[in-house]
Amino acid sequence: MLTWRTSQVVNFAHGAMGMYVAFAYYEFRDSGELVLPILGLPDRVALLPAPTLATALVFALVLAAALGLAVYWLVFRPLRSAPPLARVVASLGVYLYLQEITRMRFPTSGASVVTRLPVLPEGRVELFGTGVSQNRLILAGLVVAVTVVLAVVFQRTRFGLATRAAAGNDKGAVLAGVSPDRVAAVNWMIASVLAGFAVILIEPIAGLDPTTTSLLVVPALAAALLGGLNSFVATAAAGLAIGMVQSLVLGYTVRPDTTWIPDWLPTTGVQQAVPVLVVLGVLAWRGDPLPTRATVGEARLPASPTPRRVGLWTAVLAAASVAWLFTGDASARQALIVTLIAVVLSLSVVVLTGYVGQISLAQLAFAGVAGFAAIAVADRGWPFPLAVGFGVALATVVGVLVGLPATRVRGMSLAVATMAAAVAIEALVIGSPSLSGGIGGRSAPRPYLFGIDVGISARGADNFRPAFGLVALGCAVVSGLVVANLRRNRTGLRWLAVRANERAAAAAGIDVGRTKLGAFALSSALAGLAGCLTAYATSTLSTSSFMLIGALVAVALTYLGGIGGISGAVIGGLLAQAGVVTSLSSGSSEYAFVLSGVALVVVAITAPEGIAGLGRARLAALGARRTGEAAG
Amino acid sequence: MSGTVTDDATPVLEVRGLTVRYGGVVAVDGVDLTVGDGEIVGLIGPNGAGKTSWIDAVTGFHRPAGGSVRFAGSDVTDASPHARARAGFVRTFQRLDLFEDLTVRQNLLVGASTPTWRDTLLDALWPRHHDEEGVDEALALLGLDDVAERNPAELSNGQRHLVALGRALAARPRLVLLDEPAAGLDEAESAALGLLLHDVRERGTAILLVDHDMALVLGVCDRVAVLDLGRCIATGRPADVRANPEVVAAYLGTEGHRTGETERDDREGGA
Repeated sequence: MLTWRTSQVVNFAHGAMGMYVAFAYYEFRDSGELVLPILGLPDRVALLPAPTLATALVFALVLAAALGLAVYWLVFRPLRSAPPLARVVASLGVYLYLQEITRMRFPTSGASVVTRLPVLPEGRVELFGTGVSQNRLILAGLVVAVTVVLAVVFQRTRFGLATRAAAGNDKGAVLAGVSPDRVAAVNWMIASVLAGFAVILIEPIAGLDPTTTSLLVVPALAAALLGGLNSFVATAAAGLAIGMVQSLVLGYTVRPDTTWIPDWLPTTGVQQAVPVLVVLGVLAWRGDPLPTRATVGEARLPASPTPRRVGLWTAVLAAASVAWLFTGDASARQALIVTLIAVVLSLSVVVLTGYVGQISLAQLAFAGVAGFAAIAVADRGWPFPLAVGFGVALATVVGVLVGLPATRVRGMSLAVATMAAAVAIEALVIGSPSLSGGIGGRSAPRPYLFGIDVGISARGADNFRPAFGLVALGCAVVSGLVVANLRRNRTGLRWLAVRANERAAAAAGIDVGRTKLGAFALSSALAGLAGCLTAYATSTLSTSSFMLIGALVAVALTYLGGIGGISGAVIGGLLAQAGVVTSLSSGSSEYAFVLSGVALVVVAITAPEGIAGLGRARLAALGARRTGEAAG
Repeated sequence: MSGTVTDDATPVLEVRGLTVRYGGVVAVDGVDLTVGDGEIVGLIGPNGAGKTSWIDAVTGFHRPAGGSVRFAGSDVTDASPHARARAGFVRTFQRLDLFEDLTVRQNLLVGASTPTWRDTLLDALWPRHHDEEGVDEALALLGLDDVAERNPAELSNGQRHLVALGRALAARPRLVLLDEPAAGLDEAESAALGLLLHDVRERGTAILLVDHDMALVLGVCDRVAVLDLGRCIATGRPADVRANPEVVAAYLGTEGHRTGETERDDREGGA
């Protein structure tokens, strides 16, 4: 129920940072060991034999400050003048990294909750005739206190003035003798400390888990957006309000006499959907159809070259895939199928984010909707192509709905909105047991195309049948060609025009809103296609296939491959977990997420055009054949 | 092509009582202006006079607090910017705002036509080549043929101005509103631009020219309106406006003493 937020940078990793600090704090409190979040260093360093509550809290404070400083210095300082997309990608990298490293370093997470001593007393007091836990009251008091302190500090002190000056105008602040670097670093430390303590304090109420705690960032960002990103008081009030509404909704839905909520809606889903509705509502209400004069960005975007030699590349890649399907063994075929599906998903990211500049973190949610919808109608006897078509159509509709805020907001705010939408879809639709089959998942019936069995499974070495591989290949090829054709035509010009400059695009007669929605439609259709293929490719489709983390990875891999073009989607697909590259390198997949987090940050800082961009650069430099692509 | 507005013909653009407010500040206060078919009308005024606010309101980028805008006989006060552009009322930007990712020809193609859903579907299935006469015509008129396949970043400042003008002309609009097209051009380039504007008018496009370059505005325009402190203080032939004492006091006489320019630019460019 408690979240608040300070810095002017929209940081998706904020919840994850707090989550790590909290884990480290409890571990330190239990064992006196410091757990390092860095790969390659020893896991743990013993510091003290038996820390007290006070020393543990001080430890957490120092650790959180150090983490905030490190994240700012290593990741966001080099990206200060980068376009929003690069910063979103980098913060997703940090998010992935922290979440997965925590999972690896604290293997007992969730089980050891019992041993954790809560920081706050747990008794209950009577207030206005109802029982309220003490810790909640203290928490609310703390929120108010922290808010007041922050508000006063930022209003009255030189430091606060400097922060506001730097947030308003970097260069002006430098001229006035303020170091924006130092100011930003201090703010990052404060934000990190607040996040860490928030998570530590709410642990007895909300629990602690690498995934759900990291997702606390969604209601936090909702509150911050409500507060207009610059008022502490408004943000804290908004945060408390969201928390209370969530609790109220929960109270309603668990009551047995509540009948107006359909049974298939999961109660936790309704609870999680509240911040989403808030975010979308506020964004739509406050946004402008076109950016104002001052906010037209000049930051450079990753180049998006016109696709060339499409026919040749299609033929070569398709032939290689067919050869692979008929000569490789079962695991090789599996890897290729995974890659082909990932290529389709990456294409959806390329269209929306690479071509039109709209950051969406809901792509996998669209895929999930399509996958489960396809299974649902296939169970009712719909043939395979129709079921897939239905799934794709539904994903398109959902995608356009989620894309509606994009007609009024842009950049970071849109990323927040789509992330929120993804969480809502995950919780409401996919997480609903009657639709998704609960934990057990659902299975698609065997697919037939024109009477031919194109199912994926078979006994023994025949499993991952080439027939299904061909279907997946066909889908990937058609998707790639459609995207390439549109990109090479007037539609592509309009996409790039909207990406480059919405005001100028509108002045040239382009309906910016409709162009964006069209891109959302195509993109979510592609994501839906990927979802349907996944549904038929896995023996049981469970909700875990479509968690938000997967969407983050999809965006990450596409960005790695090169978000500006189709080649980037292909490379992203090759890099996908359990895809061709990982199966060839046969490395352990447990490091995959962590490494993709690191790679994401590195690419965002050093090579915004991804591996495909590096390949192109080398191509241009040498005037030779494409050799750089193999680098991945 | 007479120099005055004739009452019997419907004007291409008819702005009545346009008022723009930012919070409590009135940036434009009830300004009227008409542009007739094939006319070149100038709008001048010292910095801070409300020219840019007026343009944004007339072209739909900012909602006016009051007044009406009629284009080619129909009310477009509440129409979106792209709807105005498609109807044949196109604008350029002071900062050019070219699409830097696209070639010069592509920059012009973007504005040239509006594909229907059917076109888009066909495009998705098969790559087709589209010829746009308006684009070739504009490239030829502006002498951009040789650089059509280059990116705007490789061009000189003067050529970039021409690309911005070409993007506006590619759809063969009835009226083009030019926001300081001569900003940053040298005298020779500015004079060449003046000649070009006459060619544009000859092809049936009326021009509303907003600029600081007095030589250009007074030399090219049939009529000139002068804005000061959000009000229209004079309209008429260039010679009459030049002689108007109120105009001289507000603008011409004090040119060079006003320092509003730099402040304004900072506000627009920063934050």
